[in-house]
Amino acid sequence: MSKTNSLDLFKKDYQGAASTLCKGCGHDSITLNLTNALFELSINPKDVIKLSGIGCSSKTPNYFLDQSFGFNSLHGRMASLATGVHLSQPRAKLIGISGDGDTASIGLGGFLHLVRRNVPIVYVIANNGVYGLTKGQFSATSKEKDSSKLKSSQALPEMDMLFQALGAGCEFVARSYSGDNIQLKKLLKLALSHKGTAVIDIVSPCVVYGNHIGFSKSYTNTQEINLPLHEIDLINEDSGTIKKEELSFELTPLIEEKHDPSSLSSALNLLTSEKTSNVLHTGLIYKKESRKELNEAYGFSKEDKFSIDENKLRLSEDAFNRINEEMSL
Amino acid sequence: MLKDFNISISTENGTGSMTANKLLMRCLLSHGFKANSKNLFPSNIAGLPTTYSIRITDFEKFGHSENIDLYIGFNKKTLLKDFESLTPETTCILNADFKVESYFENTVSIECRKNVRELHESATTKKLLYNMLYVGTALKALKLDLQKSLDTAKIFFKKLPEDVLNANMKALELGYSLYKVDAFDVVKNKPQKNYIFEGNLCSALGFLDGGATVATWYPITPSSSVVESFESLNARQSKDKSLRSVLQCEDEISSAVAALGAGWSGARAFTATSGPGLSLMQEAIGLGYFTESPFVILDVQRSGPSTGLPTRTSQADLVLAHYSSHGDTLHPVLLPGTPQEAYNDAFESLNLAEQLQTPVMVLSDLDLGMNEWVLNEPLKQKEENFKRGPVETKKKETELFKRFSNSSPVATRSLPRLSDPSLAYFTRGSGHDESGDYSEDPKVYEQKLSRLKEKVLSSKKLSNRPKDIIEKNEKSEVSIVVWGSTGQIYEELKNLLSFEFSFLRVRSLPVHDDTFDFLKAHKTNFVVELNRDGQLNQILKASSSTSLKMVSINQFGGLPANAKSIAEKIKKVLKEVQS
Repeated sequence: MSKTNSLDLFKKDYQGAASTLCKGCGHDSITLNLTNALFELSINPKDVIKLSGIGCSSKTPNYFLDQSFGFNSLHGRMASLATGVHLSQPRAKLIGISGDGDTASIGLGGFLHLVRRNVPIVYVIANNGVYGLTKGQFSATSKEKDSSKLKSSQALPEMDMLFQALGAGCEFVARSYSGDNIQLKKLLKLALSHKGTAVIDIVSPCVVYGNHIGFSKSYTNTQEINLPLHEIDLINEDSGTIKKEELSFELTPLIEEKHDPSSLSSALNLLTSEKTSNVLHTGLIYKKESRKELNEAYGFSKEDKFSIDENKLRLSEDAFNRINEEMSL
Repeated sequence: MLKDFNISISTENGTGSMTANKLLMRCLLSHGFKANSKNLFPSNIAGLPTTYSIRITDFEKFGHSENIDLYIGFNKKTLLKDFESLTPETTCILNADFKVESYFENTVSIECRKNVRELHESATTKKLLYNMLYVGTALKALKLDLQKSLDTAKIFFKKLPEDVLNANMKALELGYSLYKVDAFDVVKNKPQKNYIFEGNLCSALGFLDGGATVATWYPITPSSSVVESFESLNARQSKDKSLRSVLQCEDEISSAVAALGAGWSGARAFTATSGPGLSLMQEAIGLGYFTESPFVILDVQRSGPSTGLPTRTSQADLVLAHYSSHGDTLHPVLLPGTPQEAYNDAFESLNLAEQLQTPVMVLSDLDLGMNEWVLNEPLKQKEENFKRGPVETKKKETELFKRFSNSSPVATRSLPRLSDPSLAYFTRGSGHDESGDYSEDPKVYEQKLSRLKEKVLSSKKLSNRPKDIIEKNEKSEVSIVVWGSTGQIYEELKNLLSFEFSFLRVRSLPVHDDTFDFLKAHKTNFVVELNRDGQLNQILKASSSTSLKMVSINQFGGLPANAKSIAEKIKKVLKEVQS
C-alpha cells in the first residue's frame, strides 16, 4: 500500500513524464527532489504552475506534476512569463526552472527585474556552466580558466547569480548541489514556503559537456569543493496544504567561520570569499522575512483575473458619459 | 469668404506653447469654425522647434495641409527658414524682440518683453504670457469675439491660481488689441457642442471598458499615453480599480511575454507600443501564435526604420504586424481610423484574442493617437457582452481532453488553477500534437500550422471583427483604397478629383472576401498609404486568388496625409495611363 500525504495524494500524483535528459544528468536529481518536496509538503498540484525558458533544464517541468499546468516558453523569458502569470493568477504557486544560459545571459535582465518585483516564485537555476543543447559552449557561470570540451579556455570570470539576486533585493538565496539529495530537498522545501522570490542556485553537472577534468562544475570537482554551511533541521514540517506561515528551521553550523543567513553583509562576504578560494558554499545563504510581493506592492486585487465578473469590469453608463463630458467643449 | 484657412505656429518645444495653441483651437471651435490641429513636435524635451498647425475648412473631415495663411513666428531659430515656406500674401505675427525684419506686407510685430512687464511678478509666468499675446492677436485676425474667447479661456485655465489666470486674461486682451492689419473672413457654422479626443485615450477607454485586467508596457513615444490614460481612467472611473494590474516592464520583450503569460492563464491582457517595441516583441508573438495564447498588442505607429522620426506619423508597420515572428504565421490586425474606432477596436481586440486564442494586433498611428480630434458627437459606448471563446473547466468523463484538437479551427482551452487537473496540459513553443505532447512528426506539424492559418482566416466570419468601409460608385471604374487615419482625406479627395470614384477603407485583416469582390470590380485601385512600399497593396495582392489592378500612392515623410499632394499623384498616374 503506497503512502499518501495529507491531501490523500500519492507520490505518483506528483510525478510527470519520463525524462529525456542524458543518463546521469544533474537535472534529473533536481526533478526527483522537487517531486519529493512537493509531495511531502502536501502542496496541491492544482495550485501550482510550472514555468521554464529554453534549455536542458527548461525541459524538466514536463517531468514532474503531471496534473499541473506548465509552460516551456522562450529562451531567457521565463521571468517575464512568470510575472504575467502572477498578475493574472495572484494565488498560484509558481515554480520556475531555468538554466545558467537562460538566466545568466539571455534572460539576465528579466531575472533581475523579477527579483526586484518580488514575484512569488521558486526560481531554480540548474547551473552546469555550459550550453548543453547547442553542444558545450561556455555559459557565463563557468569559471575563469575552465576548459571546454572543445579545448577552449574560459577567459572571463564567473558570473555569480546569487550575487546578482542579492543585488536586486532577493530575500531568499540558497545554493545547493544536485548530488546532495538531503540538503537539496530541505532547501527546496524552504524555498517553497518562502512568500516572495526564492532563488536557489543548484550546481547540476552536465554529464556530456561539463564533466571532464579541468571543468569546475564537473561531479568530481563539485564533490571536492562543496562545503555545506550547515545542517538544516525543518521544524514545523508537518502535513497540510501551503501554510499561512513559512517553515521554521534550525541551522547547525558545519564550518568554522560562522555564517549568519539573516545578515546581508554576511551573505555578501561569503560569496565574495569564493572568488579567491576554491570553495563552493552550499546551504542557506540569505533569508529574511519577505517584503510585499508584486501584487501587494501595487495594491492589486488577489482575485484571479479570469473569474472577475464582467459587470465589475464594464464602465458604468454614468462613468462613460462623464468622460465624454470632460472632453466636451 | 475663405473656405480653407491654415494657421502655422512656430515655437520652441518646452515653452508652454502647446497649452496656448490648444486654447486657440478651443476658441475657434466655440465660435463655430470647423478646425483640426496637428502638432508636429520634436523628439526632445525642450529647445527644439515645434510646429502646431490649425486648419479651418467647410469639410466634415479633412487632413493636413502645408499651405499657410497666418503664420505665428515665435521661434527665432526657425524664423528665416519658415519665411521661405510662406507666400507674399501670408500674414505674420512675430515676436518683435527677435529683431528680425519681416519682408511680408501684413506683419504684426509684438514687443513681448515690454508688453508682459507689468502683468505678473514671476519671470517664469511672464515668459509663458508671450504665448497668450500671440493667441490674442490671432483671435483678432480671425475676427473672434473677445469676451467669448475670454470665457473659453477661463474655463480652459480653471485650475490656475487667480493671479496667474488674471495675468493670462490681460495678456490675451493685450494681444487682441495689437492686431492692426486686415482681418480674415473664414467660413464658419453655427457653434455646436464638440468633443475633443486623442486616439490614445480612446484606445485606453476601449481596453478599460473591454475588461482588460492586465496591462504591461514599456514607455515609448507615441504610445505611452495609452497605458498612462488606462491607469488614470481606471483610478478615476472604474468600479474597482484594484481589479486591473498595470505593470511597467523592463523592456518590450518582457511586456509582450508578460501579457502572453497573463492571457494564457486567463486574464484579458494587452500591451501598447510603437515600431521599435513591436520589433522586439516578434519572438513573443510567434510563441503566442503557436501556443494559442490570447493577448493584444496595440502599435501606435511612428516613422521607422530604427529610431526614425519618433514623433512623426507613419503607416509602415502593417506587414510586420500581419506576419509577425519567424516561421509561418498570420495575425488578425485591426485598423482604427477615428477616435470612435480606436475605442471600438481596443474593446473588440480583447474579444477577438479570446475567441481566436491568438495574439491580436491593433494598428493606430501618431496622428490618430496623439493629435486632438474634434468630434461633433460623443463617443458611443459598446453594449455587447464580452466574448471569451471556448473554455473548459470541468472534468470530461467520456473522452480525453485535447487542448490543441484539430477538429475545429478554434480548440477548447483549459486554464491553470481553474480547470480540473485532468484538463492540465503542458504548453510549449516546440512542436506538439493535439494533446500538447512533444512531437516532431511532419504530419502533425503540418496539421497544426494549417489549422492555425484556418483559424485566423475564420475570423472573417466573426460578426464583431470590424467590417471594411465600402462606398461603391457604380459609375466609376476607379477606386481609392486607404486604411487607418488616412481615411480623413476622403471628402477632400472627392473635392479635389474631377472624376467620380469608389472608396474603400480597410478596417481589419485578413482581408474580407467582399473586399476582394470590390477590388476585382474596378479597373484601377489606388492604394493610398503613409509608407514607401505600399504595404496594404502588397498584402491585398498576396492574399487575392486572382490578379488585381493596383497602384500604390505613397507619402512617407512623417506628416499626416495631405489630400492635395495625394490627389496630384493620382491625377499624374491617370494621365500616364490615358496617354
